[in-house]
Amino acid sequence: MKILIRYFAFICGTLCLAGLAHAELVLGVHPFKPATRLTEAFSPLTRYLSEKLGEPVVLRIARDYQTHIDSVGNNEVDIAYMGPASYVKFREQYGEYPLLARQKIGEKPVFHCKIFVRADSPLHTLTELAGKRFAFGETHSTMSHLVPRYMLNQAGITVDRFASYTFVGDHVNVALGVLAGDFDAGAVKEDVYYKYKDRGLREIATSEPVSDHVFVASHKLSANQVHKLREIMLQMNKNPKGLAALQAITSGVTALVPVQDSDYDSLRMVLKKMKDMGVSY
Amino acid sequence: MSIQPDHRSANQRALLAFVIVLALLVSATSLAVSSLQGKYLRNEARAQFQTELALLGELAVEPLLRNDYAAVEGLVQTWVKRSVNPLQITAVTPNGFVLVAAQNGKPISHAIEAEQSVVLGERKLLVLHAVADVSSLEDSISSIQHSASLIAAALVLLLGWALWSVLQRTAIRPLEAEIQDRMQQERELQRRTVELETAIKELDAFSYSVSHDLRAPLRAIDGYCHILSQDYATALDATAQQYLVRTRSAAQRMGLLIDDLLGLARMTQHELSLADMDLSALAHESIGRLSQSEPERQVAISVAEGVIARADPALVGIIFDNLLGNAWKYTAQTPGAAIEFGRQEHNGETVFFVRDNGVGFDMQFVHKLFQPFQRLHGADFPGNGIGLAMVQRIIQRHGGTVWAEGQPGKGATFYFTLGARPAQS
Repeated sequence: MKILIRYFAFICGTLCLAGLAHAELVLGVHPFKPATRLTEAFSPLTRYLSEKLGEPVVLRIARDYQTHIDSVGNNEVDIAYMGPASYVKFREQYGEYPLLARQKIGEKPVFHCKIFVRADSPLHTLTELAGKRFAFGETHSTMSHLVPRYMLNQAGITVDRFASYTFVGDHVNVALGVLAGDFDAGAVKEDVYYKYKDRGLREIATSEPVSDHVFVASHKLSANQVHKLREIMLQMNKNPKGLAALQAITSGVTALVPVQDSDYDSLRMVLKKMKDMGVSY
Repeated sequence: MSIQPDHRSANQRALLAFVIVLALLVSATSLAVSSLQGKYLRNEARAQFQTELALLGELAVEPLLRNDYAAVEGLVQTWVKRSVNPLQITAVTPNGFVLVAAQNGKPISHAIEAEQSVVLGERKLLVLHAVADVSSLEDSISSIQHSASLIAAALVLLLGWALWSVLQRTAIRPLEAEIQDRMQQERELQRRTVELETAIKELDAFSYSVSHDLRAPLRAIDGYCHILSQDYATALDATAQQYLVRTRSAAQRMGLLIDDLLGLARMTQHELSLADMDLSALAHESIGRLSQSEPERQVAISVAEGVIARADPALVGIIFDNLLGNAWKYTAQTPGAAIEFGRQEHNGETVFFVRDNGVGFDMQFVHKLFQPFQRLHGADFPGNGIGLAMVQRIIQRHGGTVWAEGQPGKGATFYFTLGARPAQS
């Protein structure tokens, strides 16, 4: 009998702890950088949100892009930072979710993809990339794979015309891989390109603007929580700590601005065409 | 008067010099050992640094093969950040691109460098070049060297003190005591020498005075006896006359003895005046006088020619007169008498000799030969026993020695040297 009572007490304690664990909000992030760097990049934001919300916000880095999408769709995270392509895919799979805000880099809440070569490379156009070695980032990445692949297709360069193409994991590896001479060309989002440009890169093509990364709220959150979160995020640029937290994610971010699903229509169209060509995202 | 402080000071200076030399040797050895140890530690540090860089290279292989340059970048930066010592690393790809150039911002003062190529099979993936600061190692080496120097200095001081204590106990103090004893003995000897010299001088003066003063009454005795024998010859019978003759003879003999005593005393008071002398000529002169006194005697004379020596002319003639006179006298009854003067070298010294084939003497009495008034042949031969004593004294004053060899019936040889320097009277 005593054993049963102890077992019952243990179960109750565990459930209570589980209940307490749910008291914190989870910020989910897709693995567009190494986990250590992502932790460094998003820790200021989780601290800032915790402070403003008055409840702890913790970071969770997904194993891969699809896992990240699923974790948001399955309400395993409360707040999700999503790349444009991931958001489009997420919306297709899981329907409408509350949008909190999107990044504004510089003056506009859009960004571009850069296809580049080494500065000393003889290549100057996309068509010259036929027969060369090309570096993509991650297969689900908007700017290191999907958009540049669309651009290459538009220029008549399908991946089978490369001598080789490799998914090197993230934007930084693409830039470094080209600089190291392991690849003749690669594609990254513009802020990464500009970061490494001075070390010896030269762009040969720029994409159309694509609406930037977006913060999505889980259905678990109440309307009040969503509203409060949205207000906090939209005011972050006015707070030095808030602005610093944003710039820790990506240098050059000037604010979080209002967002709506239609901001991603142009990308949605591109991705549809890619899907029609057999490229999943 | 004590000389102990001077000795101690000299010993202390010698010990100080020894300790300084020892300190220099120990310091040099200590420095050499420390230097070798430092070299060994530096090599160890360099080898360890190279090993660490090789390990970093191995860790970089996998991400490089996956084209995960960011991971390599992060790895190197973490490596640098975690380093306790100042560190700089550059990772260069085969095309010369500097993938990572990281440093932990600490200043590098004592640098060691290492380079590591990251390869997989034949494929070169990366070259790591690193510079690390080994100031802490240099500080440790310096600390070791200082400690070694201090320990060496302490050891030297301890050793020096121990050596000084042992030397004092085993050598210096006994030596000082011995020196003190010997000095005491020397002072005592000096005192006795002075007393002896004074006594000798007083004795010589006394002898001279006595001899001189005895001559006057002797002359009176002889004179009055002569007057008695002349003026009262008729009044005295033959026996009385004979007594007077004997009295005069005794007085005259006593006069001769006094003369000899005076001569002997003068020997010690005479100031030496040295000059190069032809001893051969002196020998000829002396023998000439002897031949004139007894022209009937047939004696074979042999004199070595050209014998030169540095001596006092007034005294050295007495030597020859006595030695050759004795030879002449003691060969009087020898058929085929022969007398020889010569010289020979003995132990690097010139030895002169006078040899005869006369009556000789028994060597068991040789110690009496040079004592005054000691005569080995009694009344068989005339003489008063003072001659050889004078010879010995003259030779000793010249710094030389005299000795004799003889056999009864086979003659005698008297050897003498005149020494390099005159002896003090």
